Amino acid sequence: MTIEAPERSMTDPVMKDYYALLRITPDASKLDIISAYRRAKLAFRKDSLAVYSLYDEEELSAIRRQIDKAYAVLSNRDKRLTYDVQHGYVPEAGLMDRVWPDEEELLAESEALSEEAPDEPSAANQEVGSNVVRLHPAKKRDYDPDLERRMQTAEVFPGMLLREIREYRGIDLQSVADHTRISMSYLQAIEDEDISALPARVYLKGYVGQYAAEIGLEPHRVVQGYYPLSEE
Amino acid sequence: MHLTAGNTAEKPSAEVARPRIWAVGGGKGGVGKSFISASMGVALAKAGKRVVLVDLDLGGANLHTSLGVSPDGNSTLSDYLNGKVRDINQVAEQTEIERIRLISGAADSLDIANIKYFQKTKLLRNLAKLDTDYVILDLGAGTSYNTLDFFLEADHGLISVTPDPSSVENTYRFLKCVFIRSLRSVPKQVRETILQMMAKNRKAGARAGSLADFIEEMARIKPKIADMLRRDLDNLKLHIIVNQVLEPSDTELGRAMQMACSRYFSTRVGYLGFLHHDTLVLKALQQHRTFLSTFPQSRLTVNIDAMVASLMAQDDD
Repeated sequence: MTIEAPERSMTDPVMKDYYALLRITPDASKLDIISAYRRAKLAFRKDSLAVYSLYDEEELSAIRRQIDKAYAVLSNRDKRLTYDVQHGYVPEAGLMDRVWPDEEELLAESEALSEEAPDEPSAANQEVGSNVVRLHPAKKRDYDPDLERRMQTAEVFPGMLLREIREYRGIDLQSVADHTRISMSYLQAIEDEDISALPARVYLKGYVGQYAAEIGLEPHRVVQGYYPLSEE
Repeated sequence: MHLTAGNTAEKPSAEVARPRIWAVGGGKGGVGKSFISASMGVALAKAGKRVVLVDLDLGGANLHTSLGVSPDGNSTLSDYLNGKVRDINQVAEQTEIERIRLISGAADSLDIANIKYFQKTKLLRNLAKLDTDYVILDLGAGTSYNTLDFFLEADHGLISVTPDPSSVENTYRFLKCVFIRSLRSVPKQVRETILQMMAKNRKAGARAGSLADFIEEMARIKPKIADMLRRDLDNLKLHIIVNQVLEPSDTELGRAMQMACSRYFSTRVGYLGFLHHDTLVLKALQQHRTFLSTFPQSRLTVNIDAMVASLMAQDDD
């Protein structure tokens, strides 16, 4: 007997069950579905590290289309009910017993996510590198010649200017905190020049330098020009 | 209390509970297999368990270094394999760390990399005779049959992967080999078909089929074989550990790989968590000390303790 390896066809990929596709069970809450969808889209995105050497680009985009399809059905209350009934996950009589938690609350979240759903990454996404997970990509402000010039020439870097530059670059404070592991409260204190909340000088110097590097400034210039550090 | 070695060999095996065996593998070198093995050993010992660490990176052994001990070279794995020492317990030497013994490869003979088939089976058979609670196998890189068989012998197979493409690629290669090697009950012919299918060259126009596709196809034409495949694969208890994480985005890698495995191999692979990159690991190594006992408060230590606790909990089920 010979066993032929099956030919794979793009129109008929494996795992047709929507729940299995998103790796959730049929009793998943709406929140489960949203986060599973997010995880799946990240795992199978273009240039995803996690599928390196397993799938080519064409296969990945077919998988993503499948995931979108599954999400379109499962995230819609009526469509999901129909799907569940068709697949025997919910007996028709039991429809009314089903609990749908915090739907209002979750709606906003799922909408925010679906903006990022299109397969082709936006320009902003590509800019930060495909391996960086950014569901809400940083939006740079329009070119501001005045601020650019001030960045180049400034000798003094008050907290206000630092915040302005950070916002101009479209970097939120949380992502600075994530990258530098400096706590949010210290970062806030640096921008507010809140002396009472700032850490000891030795630490502050390092923190300001790291913060500066994160927002694209030269650390030594900012350290020199940061008022709470110059005070002796 | 330590039983003297030799005593245990004669003991009826039913009386002594078989030790749990964990293997640490992964296709690539330098992804922290020895570090993870040593650290898990220390974590288990801290939890009051007796541990034997076995350096199975045959021909490239350096688990003793990760463990921060300098083996006195009284006896090594070689001595057991070539029959100089009869009881495997005698080559497990007590280290300076309480409750941890090490079967070191530090002074192995230079031809150890090419152990013979009978030596491998002898070792595989006798690992369970080690008088201890846990046995941790630190495997070498690559996908040789020796490595795969030790990996498959374990109750839990841990796979270390770092967030870079070469490590991910080697991990999947390793997994493919593990899966194929683990198909013990299916006919040889099926195994070979899968082997060919998974190795198909994409560039030649053929699409390299996934194991999931194959099983689905089998379920249609030969449901019995599909069942056997499923059963063999379900027997595996595999866990991914993402090591040397630098970027916040890398922390997603484990879950994403889990998803990819479930889709591509149609097999559930566990995810134990991630470990941050820490330059202090190198420092501890240079000082010949284990990381966990040198930096007991570090987040790496906390994470490793948590991983070990979750694995132990799975064993108790």
